[in-house]
Amino acid sequence: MKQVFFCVVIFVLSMLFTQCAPSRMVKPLEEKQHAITANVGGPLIGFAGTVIPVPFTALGYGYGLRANTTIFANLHTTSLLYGVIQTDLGVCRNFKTWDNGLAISSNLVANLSVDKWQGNFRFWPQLDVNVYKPFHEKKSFWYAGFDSWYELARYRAHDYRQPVHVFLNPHAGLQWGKKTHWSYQFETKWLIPYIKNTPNQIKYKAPGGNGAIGIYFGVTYRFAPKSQEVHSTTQAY
Amino acid sequence: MKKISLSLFFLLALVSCQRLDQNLYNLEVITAYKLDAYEGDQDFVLGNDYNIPDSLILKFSVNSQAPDESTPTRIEAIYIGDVNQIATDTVILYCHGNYKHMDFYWQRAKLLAHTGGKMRYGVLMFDYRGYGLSQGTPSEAGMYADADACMQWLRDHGLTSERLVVYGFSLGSAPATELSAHPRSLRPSKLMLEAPFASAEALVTDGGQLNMPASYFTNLEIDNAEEIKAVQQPFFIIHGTNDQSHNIETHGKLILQHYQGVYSESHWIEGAGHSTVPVTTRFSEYNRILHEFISQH
Repeated sequence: MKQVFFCVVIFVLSMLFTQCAPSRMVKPLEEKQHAITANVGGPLIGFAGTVIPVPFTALGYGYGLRANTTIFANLHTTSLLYGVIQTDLGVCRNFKTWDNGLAISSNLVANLSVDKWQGNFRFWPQLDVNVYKPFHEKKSFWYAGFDSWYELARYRAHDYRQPVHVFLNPHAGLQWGKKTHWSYQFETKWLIPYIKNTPNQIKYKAPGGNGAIGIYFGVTYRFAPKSQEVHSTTQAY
Repeated sequence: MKKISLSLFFLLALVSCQRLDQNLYNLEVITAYKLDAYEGDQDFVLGNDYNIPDSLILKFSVNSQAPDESTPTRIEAIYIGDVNQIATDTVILYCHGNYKHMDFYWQRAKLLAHTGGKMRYGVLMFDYRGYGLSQGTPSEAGMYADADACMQWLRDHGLTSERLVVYGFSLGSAPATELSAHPRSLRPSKLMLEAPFASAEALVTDGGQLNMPASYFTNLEIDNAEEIKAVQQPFFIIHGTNDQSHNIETHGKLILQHYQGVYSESHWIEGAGHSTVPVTTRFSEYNRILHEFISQH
């Protein structure tokens, strides 16, 4: 890599700012249940002779508003390190559950960010759709779906017309837990697979040179819902 | 309300003051300039035909003081040509890119010194503060001050504005454009840019696709696409169509579109990457088009 101005840092952080987290909430919490989450991960890049996921991190909180509706908020801690307060506030709703346990849910999310340097504010709406199937006595589930970001601005720097307004990222993942409050998440997604990842100094790893493959890990701690605290039982998902 | 206040306080306390800026400069520590004996990686190495006699190579230093500095910073520079002829020669001030230091750009400087024939033009190259053996740490204001300090040196040796040509490659497009748009010690008579970038903002939006402000990542306010609007001097731009760092559409062509001066010419080099414009163009052709622009406009 030669004569690269802003190369690695800018491109990694900016291109993948949008995709620095796994799907926020796939299966809604139980009513009045609280949960906290932490996750790390990002797109795979070639770095120092090996392939690594960019380690974006975030902390989150969720609350079961109703049996099928959960609200959540996340704070992007990597951005915070650099003076950018980035949060996503959203609601997860379960739309349908079939007899075999298969279910479909959706997240509607507001991504908000502002920097402490110039106070530049941005808002990007996000829509996620997931199909999930519980197993292991409903303590774990796999899921697949997509998340999508929407750029509302018509123009960007220098009145250059914004070329892409919809950023669609298909993904699949697994969340598993045992008889504890803890559960763990693994997700992989193909970030904007319909956009070439060149010209770019970063060597993104993706089929056909399109977008980037992302890998994410998460951990969730679910507090026992109040209705269950009385009976001293726990739910692991 | 108390909880919300506490939460906000906690959030603000977490916000760090770290910036990426110092990570953006691509520096290499050296103990001496080696020029032709340099064995590090280079974009290309010229043949013996391009050798410069030692008598026409002057290594020197200048003092540069940015507006926010109380003491000057020592900047290392090299002049290729006869110093005694500066009062009558045309001189190209070469503002190099972000990678390493003058040893890496030595071949490029020698190539420029062969524009229009061997030693037709004098060439002054320098290391920005923090690069090579120049003192200090890199900064945007410092970079402009360093280029201007070299102009002062040229002026002190008899150069006048109408015989000064400024050439900026990649990162060097920033001081070259800034000092052409807002002259300080001298007003360059021509501006030449190779593989320039439009602005920090354009780099960020190129990378992220989203309309994201540069201030999320850097304090740098470099904006060649705006500065070029104030450049009235004749303008030359050369850019590879396969530039993987600075997309020709969103950087090179955008800068050209914003230019409103008296004359411009553009050379889009088919297949050339960010660092390979002279090679892809072929050295003789590269020298020819540079000379044609400098001598005729």
